[in-house]
Amino acid sequence: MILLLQLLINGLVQGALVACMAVAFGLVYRSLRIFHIALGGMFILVGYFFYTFVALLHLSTPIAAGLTLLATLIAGAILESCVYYPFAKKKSTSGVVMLASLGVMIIIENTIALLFGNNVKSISVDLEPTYIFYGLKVTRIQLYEFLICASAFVILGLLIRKNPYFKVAWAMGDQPRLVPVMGLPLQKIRQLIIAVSSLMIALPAALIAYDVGIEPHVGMSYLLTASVAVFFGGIDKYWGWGLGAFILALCQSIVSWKFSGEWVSMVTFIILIFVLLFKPSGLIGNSKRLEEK
Amino acid sequence: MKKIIVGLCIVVLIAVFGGRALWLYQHRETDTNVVKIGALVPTSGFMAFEGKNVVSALNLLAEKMNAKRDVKIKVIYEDDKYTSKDSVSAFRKLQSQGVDLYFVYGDLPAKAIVSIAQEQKLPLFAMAESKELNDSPVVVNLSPSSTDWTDSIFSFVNEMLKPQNVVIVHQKDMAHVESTKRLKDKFKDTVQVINSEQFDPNVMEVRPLVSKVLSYKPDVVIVLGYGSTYTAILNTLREQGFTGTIVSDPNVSSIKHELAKTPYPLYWTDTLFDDNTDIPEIKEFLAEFKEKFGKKPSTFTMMSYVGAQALMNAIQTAEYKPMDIYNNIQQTKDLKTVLGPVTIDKNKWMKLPIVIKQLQPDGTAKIVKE
Repeated sequence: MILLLQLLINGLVQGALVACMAVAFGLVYRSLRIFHIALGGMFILVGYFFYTFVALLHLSTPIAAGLTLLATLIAGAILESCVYYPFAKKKSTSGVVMLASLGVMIIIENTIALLFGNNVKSISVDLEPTYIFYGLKVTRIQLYEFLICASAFVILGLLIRKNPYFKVAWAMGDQPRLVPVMGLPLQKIRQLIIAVSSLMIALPAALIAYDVGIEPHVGMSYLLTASVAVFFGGIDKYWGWGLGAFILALCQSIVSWKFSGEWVSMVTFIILIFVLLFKPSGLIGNSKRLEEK
Repeated sequence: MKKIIVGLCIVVLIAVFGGRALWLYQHRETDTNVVKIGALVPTSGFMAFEGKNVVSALNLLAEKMNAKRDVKIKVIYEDDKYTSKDSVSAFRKLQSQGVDLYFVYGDLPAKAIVSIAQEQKLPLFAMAESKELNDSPVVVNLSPSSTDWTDSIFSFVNEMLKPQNVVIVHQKDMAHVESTKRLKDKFKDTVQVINSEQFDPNVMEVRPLVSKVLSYKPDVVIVLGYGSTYTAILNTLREQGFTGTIVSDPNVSSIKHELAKTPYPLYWTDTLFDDNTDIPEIKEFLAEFKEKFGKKPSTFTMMSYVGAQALMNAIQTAEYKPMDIYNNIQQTKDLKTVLGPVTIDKNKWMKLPIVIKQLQPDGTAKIVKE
């Protein structure tokens, strides 16, 4: 019983991290209709920014975290203005933009490997303090991971409901051509989406890098988990992404317990195929009307 | 006047290029005095870090050998990216360049090309651990087998730690599955409880797995693998409160500075190589390597260097015919190398001194069993 509860707690923490990553992916996919593969590259970049500031430049953790967020915002702005926006201006198809995004991811991955090597880099080699409640173990970094990521997810969810800019950004995915027609600043809204997506990937990426270290080839696996959570929860439902993330993380934990750690990746894709086949609109997504299909 | 200048320029150009061509012709390396070794090494992809070190080690050795002898060794590298598909195309590319011998780094590339090499009777010198490779009549393995590493772990754990409850956590690849199976078979008679768990190297969240491992209440956990998930498992075991003994494989040597410092024991099986060693031969090699390449070699760099040293020694004593070299290398016995005396056994495996090391509080290693 204790083991099951322990796995549920681990699943909740992991779910909060995946929820943030799902938002980072989902926002771009929902609003700009870009399958944002470069997000995997952004994940790695964040990890190495944080590693550079903490382990190489020996800055204090809060300052390093602030600088990492800033550097990620700049990287996101460069990505939007040098890659995504020029393609959007040329009205390129989503397939072309996806390929470009994949290219960015590969460039980032290889550049990092060239600069830092392919081996694991640990930001902190000290053991994290562990708190034990009734036999259940939670480390300090796990608490931070849960509190920071879950709060960021909830706050952004509320902003998307209330803030007019976010409302426009959300609507842009359905009618992108209406934004300039209505006199709204298209480029600014795009920049806003990319900036928020960059921040939302920066939080879990920096925390994970601090927790377990970073290497240049982990981006794709996190990207896949995030994208599966979005499709699982429902592309059009912000809260669905979070639900998808938590269920996915819990499933992974339970599979690890009942079967073996080797099946954890597989369960992610079984869920994805199951959803795409039987509930394409996602767990809490609304089914489309016949004329919309 | 203009015509004379142009004419003079043409004469000068012909003299310069003609002279250079003549010099190159006179100093050309004929096929008879160059042995071409085709090396399949991952210089890009996730294993590039090791691959680049292996290239440095082979270059250093070839340079030393070429300075001493009339017959030169030329190493031609192809990047196999540590994938089966790229290994086969890299191998074909090497074949088209008239390579005499093939050196391959790692289990996966070796397995990808072994059937082609066998079909065409091309000798293959592998730096791999999996024992199934050695069934091929064209393969000689230039690194200790997974059996050697596994047996050294078993004898250490069994004799020195005498545990009652052991859990083996291993990566899901052929070599580690083989090692786990062997360990479980060996522990069957001496340990009361033995469990094993596999991990997927693409999954970084290892806490569920570690929680499950700790639920068995082991006194010894043996962790076999490499990469970031492997490192995370080693650290998370301690973070989750495991105070027993952790035993692991030679991959610890390259990540020992990334591991959490705890008062609890961590041992691993390794070669004599260490970057803080007192052994003069290794110290000398370290200094030479650092001066030339500006970095420290890893355990696997050293093993590649020693493996290639056995190969080049066999080239010296055979008459530069590939199958002679293949036969000759199998006669290697107590060859003096930086990692101690090296022998190729009757199963075509390299045998070299294997030790058990313990991680010290300052992050260095100490040999506890030879």
